[in-house]
Amino acid sequence: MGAINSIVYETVVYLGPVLLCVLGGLFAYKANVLNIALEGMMLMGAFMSVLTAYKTENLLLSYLAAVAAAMALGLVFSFFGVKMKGNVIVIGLAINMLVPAVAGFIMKVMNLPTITLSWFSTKSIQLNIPVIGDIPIIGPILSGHPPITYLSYLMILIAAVVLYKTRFGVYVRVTGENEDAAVSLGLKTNLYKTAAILIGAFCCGLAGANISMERLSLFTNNMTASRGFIAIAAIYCGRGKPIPCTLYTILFAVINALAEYFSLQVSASLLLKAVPYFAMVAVLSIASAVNRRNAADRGAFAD
Amino acid sequence: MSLIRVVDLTKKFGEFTANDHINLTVEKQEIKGIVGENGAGKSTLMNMLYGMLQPTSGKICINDEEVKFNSPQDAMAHGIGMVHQHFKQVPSLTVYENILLGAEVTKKCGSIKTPFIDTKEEIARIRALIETYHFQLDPMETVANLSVGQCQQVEILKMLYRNVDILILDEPTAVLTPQEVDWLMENLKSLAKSGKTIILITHKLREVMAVCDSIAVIRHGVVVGETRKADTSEKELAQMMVGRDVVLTVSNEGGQAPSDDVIYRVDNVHAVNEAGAEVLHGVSFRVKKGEIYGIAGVEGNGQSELVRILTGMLLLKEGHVSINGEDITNSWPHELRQKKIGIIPEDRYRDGLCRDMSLDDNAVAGYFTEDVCRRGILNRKAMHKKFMGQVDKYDIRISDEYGNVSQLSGGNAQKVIIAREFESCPTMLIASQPTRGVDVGSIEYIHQSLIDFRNAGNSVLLVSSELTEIMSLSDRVGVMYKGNIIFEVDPKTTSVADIGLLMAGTVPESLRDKA
Repeated sequence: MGAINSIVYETVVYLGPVLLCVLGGLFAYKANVLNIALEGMMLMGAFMSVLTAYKTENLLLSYLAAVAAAMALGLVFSFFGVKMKGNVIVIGLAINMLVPAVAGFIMKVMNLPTITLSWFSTKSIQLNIPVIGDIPIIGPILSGHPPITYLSYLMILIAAVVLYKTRFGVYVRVTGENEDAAVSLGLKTNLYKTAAILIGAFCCGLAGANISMERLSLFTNNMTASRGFIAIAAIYCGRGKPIPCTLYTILFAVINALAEYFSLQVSASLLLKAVPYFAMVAVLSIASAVNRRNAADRGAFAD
Repeated sequence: MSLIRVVDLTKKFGEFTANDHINLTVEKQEIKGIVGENGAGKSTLMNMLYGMLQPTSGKICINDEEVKFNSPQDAMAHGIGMVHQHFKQVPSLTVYENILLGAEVTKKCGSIKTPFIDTKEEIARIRALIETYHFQLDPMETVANLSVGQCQQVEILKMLYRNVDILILDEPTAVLTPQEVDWLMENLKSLAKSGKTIILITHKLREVMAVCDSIAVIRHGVVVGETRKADTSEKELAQMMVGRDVVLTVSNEGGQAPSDDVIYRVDNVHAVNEAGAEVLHGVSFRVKKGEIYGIAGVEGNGQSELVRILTGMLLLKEGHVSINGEDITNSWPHELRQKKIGIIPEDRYRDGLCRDMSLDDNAVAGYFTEDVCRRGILNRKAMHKKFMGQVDKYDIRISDEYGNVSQLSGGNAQKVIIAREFESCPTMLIASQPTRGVDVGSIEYIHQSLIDFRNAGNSVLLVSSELTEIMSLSDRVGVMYKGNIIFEVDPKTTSVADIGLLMAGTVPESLRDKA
């Protein structure tokens, strides 16, 4: 029982931030903007939350700083990618490379290899639900997590409602599917693209804060460890639909938790750590093969 | 007082003047026809009226009041709506969602607006709207499942919902069956009677003569004539449009009767689209030596998929294709070319040419023969010489012989493809929409080349949505409907009305006994 409980708990630890990142990032996918800067935005959130907490010892300010910094990156991305119509891959790559460089530089100046928060205990913000917390399997899913993990559960519902039940959601989807139609009716498509990117940035900022401050109360560089790319993989496998995307994210999280668990049991632990990434490539290949099983096109225009 | 008055309107794109001091008036409740060739500047003019483009100089007055449109919304606020040639729709949404796009009805909580959409109210409103105008549509249907004619109804309803008084239709009949065209024309008349003003942009003179009250002709960005319908004729309009006498149809004469040797066989071809739905249900036909076999049909009945299969761009699921008895099912394009099949693709800039490469490169693309390419190394001089030879022979009008294809007009770009394919001496030609977006002068030329090619004893498969083209060139016509060739007719003995019925899926009485 202990093993299962710890695997489930580890799954949720990994799932929380990635799921939040996926559900925010899918808005940009739906608006037909390829946002590969999710990783950089998440790392920015992780860094700024811990840095602010270290300097101010104020929890609320740390969350705000994480969100503000990630959204600033979102604005940079929108400015170059949407307004100036630059190449979003190049801009995304630039952001992904810029963030660890900036974080590394600041930490070098501060002369710290990692930023550790001594005043703050992760236990203090965990929500322990009595009785339910003791039920096997469901207990570790529902109880003992920091606030943002619960927010990411809630975000499944929010994303689905906003995308399919509101005017804003319709406009985002129309922008992605047929921008010409949207423009001909006078919709400001650049605005919806930017808004979609910023929703993603907002979620990435919080996801980053969850990884560093809420879970470990410390920051080391590159601690997001490609979770942003896993999120992109989940968004593509689920084609931007909230529920399928969530299921793919859970799949990745379970694989990751299993690998983590078994890597503690055997000696070849480094090899096992690579398993989630192999799994990601495998799932992406299978998902795209399934999604394209009827395609019979030849040539570059087959999509 | 005129409803719309356009005074000295000019639009320049860089050096190029698309509209040159256009003067035009439209009266209330009339149907105004604007005719002109492709590229004459009709669309530019309408895009300025609809706020998609801003004029370089001149003014637009509505009810004698000068207006400035910065966006389509400004135009809509002044009661102008436009139905575009290429529908601006979102296929994954339903009819009612498409009509209400940008004008959603949201739920109210007391007097406070919420961002949530009131689906029930939306459906009720659209149902009422459809009934008011006697359209045949289900508001709950997804647009992806609609026929082209129905999509156009959605587009018109979109404008009517927004209470426009002036409706601009850009080439509305290009994709309709003759019967759907009649339906549309009747509806336009009744809309005009109910108080709307309609501007119809087209290059089909028959339709202009059928519904319009007055007509303006545009050539090279200038209004060359404005007249009441009663004072003119189809022939006169055609002359004004082109600026000289035109041969409206090339005669299909001079060839020997096609022999009975079957050159090209297509047997029982099935294909599925991306969503897994079958789009071709066992298409079979034969093309004989010295014959032009035409495929007619409303667009979207599987012709595009068929051509893509026959030219090696799409894989078929079931069936066989052969030439001279050799199996060429699912062959790659270069293998087809080795078998002496020439290809004129439907979308010339997508499958036929590379716009941003030089004319020389495009002229040899797909045919790297010994004279221009040895052991993988291109002989640039030989390529240029070869292309310049084609320029003279095929009358391609270029401004920079070392420039890119992007400098060419649609007609001349098409001639580059035709020159390339004919120069490789094929015995079979697959030509899809060979004259789409091509000026009248080049159309004549292209038609004549196809006839000459046939007369030299070769075979042609001609796929076109221009019924007149198919009727005047083909020796036999197969009519395609919902992924199948439902009937083969002799164009010389069949009426346009009968083919129209076939295109809509019904076999007319007069042809039943032949079946």
